[in-house]
Amino acid sequence: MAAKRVLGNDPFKRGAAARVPVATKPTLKTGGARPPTPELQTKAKRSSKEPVRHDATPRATPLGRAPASHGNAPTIGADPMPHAGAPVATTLGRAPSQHHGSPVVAADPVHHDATPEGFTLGRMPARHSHSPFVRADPVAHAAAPVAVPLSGAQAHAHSPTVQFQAVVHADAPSARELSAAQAHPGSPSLKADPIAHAQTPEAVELLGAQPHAQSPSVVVDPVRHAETPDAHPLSFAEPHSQSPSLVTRTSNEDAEPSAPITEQRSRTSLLSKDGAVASARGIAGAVRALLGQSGKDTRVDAYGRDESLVAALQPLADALYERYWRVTVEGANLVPPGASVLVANHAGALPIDGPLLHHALKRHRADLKPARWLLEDQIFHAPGLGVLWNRLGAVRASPENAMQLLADATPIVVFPEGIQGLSKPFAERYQLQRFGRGGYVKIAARAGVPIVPVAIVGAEESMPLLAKLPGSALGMPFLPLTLPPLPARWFLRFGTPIVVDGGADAAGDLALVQRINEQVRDTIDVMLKDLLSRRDGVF
Amino acid sequence: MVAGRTHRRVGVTGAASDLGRVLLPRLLEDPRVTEIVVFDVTRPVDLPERVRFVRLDLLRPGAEGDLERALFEARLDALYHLAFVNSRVHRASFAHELEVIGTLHLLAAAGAVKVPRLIVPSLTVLYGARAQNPAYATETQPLQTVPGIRFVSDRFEVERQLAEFVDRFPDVEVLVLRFAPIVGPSSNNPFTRLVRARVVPTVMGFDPLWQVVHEDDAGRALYLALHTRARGIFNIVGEGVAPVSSLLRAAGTTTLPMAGPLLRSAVTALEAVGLPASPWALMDFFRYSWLADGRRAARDLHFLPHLPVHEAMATMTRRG
Repeated sequence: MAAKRVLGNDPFKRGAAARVPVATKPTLKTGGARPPTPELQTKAKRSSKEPVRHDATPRATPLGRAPASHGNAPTIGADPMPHAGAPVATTLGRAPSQHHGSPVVAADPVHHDATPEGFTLGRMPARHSHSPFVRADPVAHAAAPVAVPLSGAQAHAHSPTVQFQAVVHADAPSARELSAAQAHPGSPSLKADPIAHAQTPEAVELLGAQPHAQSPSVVVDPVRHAETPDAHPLSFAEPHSQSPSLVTRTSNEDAEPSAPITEQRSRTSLLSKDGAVASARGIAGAVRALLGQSGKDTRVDAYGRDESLVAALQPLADALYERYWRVTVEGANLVPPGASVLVANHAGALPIDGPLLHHALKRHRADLKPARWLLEDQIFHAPGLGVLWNRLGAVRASPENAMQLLADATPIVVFPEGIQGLSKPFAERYQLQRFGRGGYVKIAARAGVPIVPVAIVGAEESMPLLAKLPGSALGMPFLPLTLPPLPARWFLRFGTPIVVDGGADAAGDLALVQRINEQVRDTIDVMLKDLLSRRDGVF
Repeated sequence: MVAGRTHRRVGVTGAASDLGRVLLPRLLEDPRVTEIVVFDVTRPVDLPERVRFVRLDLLRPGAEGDLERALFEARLDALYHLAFVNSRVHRASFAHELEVIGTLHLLAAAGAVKVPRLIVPSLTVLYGARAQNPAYATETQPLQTVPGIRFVSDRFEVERQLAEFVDRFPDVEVLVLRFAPIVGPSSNNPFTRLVRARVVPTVMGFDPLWQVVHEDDAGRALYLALHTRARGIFNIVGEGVAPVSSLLRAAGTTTLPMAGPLLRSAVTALEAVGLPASPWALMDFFRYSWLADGRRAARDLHFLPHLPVHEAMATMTRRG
């Protein structure tokens, strides 16, 4: 693993330091007398320029110097006493890399009263990527041990009747996790308390990691949270706060692949004669599609995807994918089989992230139906581009279309930022915009399919938005001024699926929808920061 | 099919229309149909002997009284109302009278006599082509008219009357079949006239998805509506969808993509000089997909189209 660098040697340095600010000295404040309404996550419109602050914080506990009050686990920094409203603040910036291999658990008891409350402990600084630790956060006695990921963690707030299960595939530790992984060999499995299972240990699997050999399911007894014994160098605990009647789990139990998933490499090279001919035909077809002039033999599926055009463009797409953008994919095996809602950040002047993600899934998860990505109206109805994208697999974003695709067991990709994600200037790259109104959460709840957070890095540098030209003549909000796609490297990272149980009831619970929406956004944010911190060089 | 659900005496208005011509042979072949009564102003040519003809002018003031009497005497089990104008030969005012006022009279009479079953064709065009519509319109999607296009606005008005009728006479089984554009060698409607044009301008950079249904499939759907136990609204669409340019080319038509602003000014100019050009409102059908979900017809009507979209369009190349 390369040395930690802010934004991975971003050559476009302006504002780069500000984007990973937590690395310097974030004071993460939690606890305190909080209103029982779980609004905090939504309220906290987090700018990445400042650490997440959660509430009034009388006491600060630097994570690196976790109190030794839990004698049984010296590496666990936990506050055992669940004082009602005892506010605890934890300074995260102090978790230094000497914690290599020694996972730290910071238990952070916040509320003693049974207020189901959602709060997020916030992002961990990206520099923690080497010191995995677990942060247990028993809220209202529902212990919420959170596996703090390589780069970030969020807290869990659980009401006692909420079940929050996470089946973990203790992924084989990836190369960069190796040191940490040694700290907990085997498959630690903790006993569950049936009332409040709160656990979110998850593992991020890196590309090339071994298949889930062991699957330790970590279940935490909420009563004995003080001794929450296990620190897993697992990644990406998602914050979950649920309303009591709903069951939410993060699970990827379905995603257990029987065989290691291998990437489907391109068979036809662009440089070969066949590849070149096919590509030329594909490009011609793409140009015809752009003009809105399809051939008389054009066959499209029910949503307008032209399979033969996709096949003709395959060698070109593979070449772009492998050689030009050199896409790295992490955690593709976390995508559950069948239908799912993949939620990704949207970026770049022209939305090439949709087709690229689609292509990546096709290569890494050939078992899935080809994913369809949902496009906001401004792009879907843009002249030329909208038609071409539609022929390649885009579908107009609408609840009806999404439900129908999910019913057909098709994974769908949504970009909740919509046009906002595309219209931010280059200086604000990788800063997540508002995630719409959480429509995708409702859809996932109604369809009973998991939400998979996805972070995409590379789109911003590939097609930086240099200026917005007036585009009203073409019925567009603006015409993006950009460069031809630049050969920035791309990184795609899939997170652990989040299952929203409760069906239509959950979809109708706007507070819950907003909480999950915010949680997904946080997760993607954390993954983005992690990817950016590990990236050495844009190109 | 349940006993007692058979509709042995069937009435048809507009038997000479495109739909009437594809429906009548099927009714004649059906042994369960013992009597066919055709209501029209003049006896259609080559009407089979078996078919009873009743002279009736839907437009005459007081037509509902005549119709009521005729319906009562015929003791019909089902009535097809197919008297809609698709061809261009009629004057617009006459077409409007026939479609809107004729339907008004017919519904009044059918309600008074309590015809057991009423089957009326409609159009998926009424869902409109809008950027915000879902990809597939189900039968519950609100309809919208296209102002200035009589072909659409009259049928919109008919649908409105039908909805009122259904509320008012819940005992009458009303089946509304909303057809995608009907194509076929013997069809003559605004869509087939578009296809038969030598060159069709389209909007550059747009290639929305369209559906069609072949006339044979349309006739079969109409016939299936006679015996089904279901009622309500059904979208009748062909198999598959196609981009409009591909669809027109499959019928041998040349498409001419024009830049949107250019096309708009051309349309405006034609309108300014008084030529009967298509208003800009219709251009939405060349910019946004307008597809209807035919699954209800498949499930409840057991209607499965035989001809896929490109094959259906290919039948248009045989020009008579």
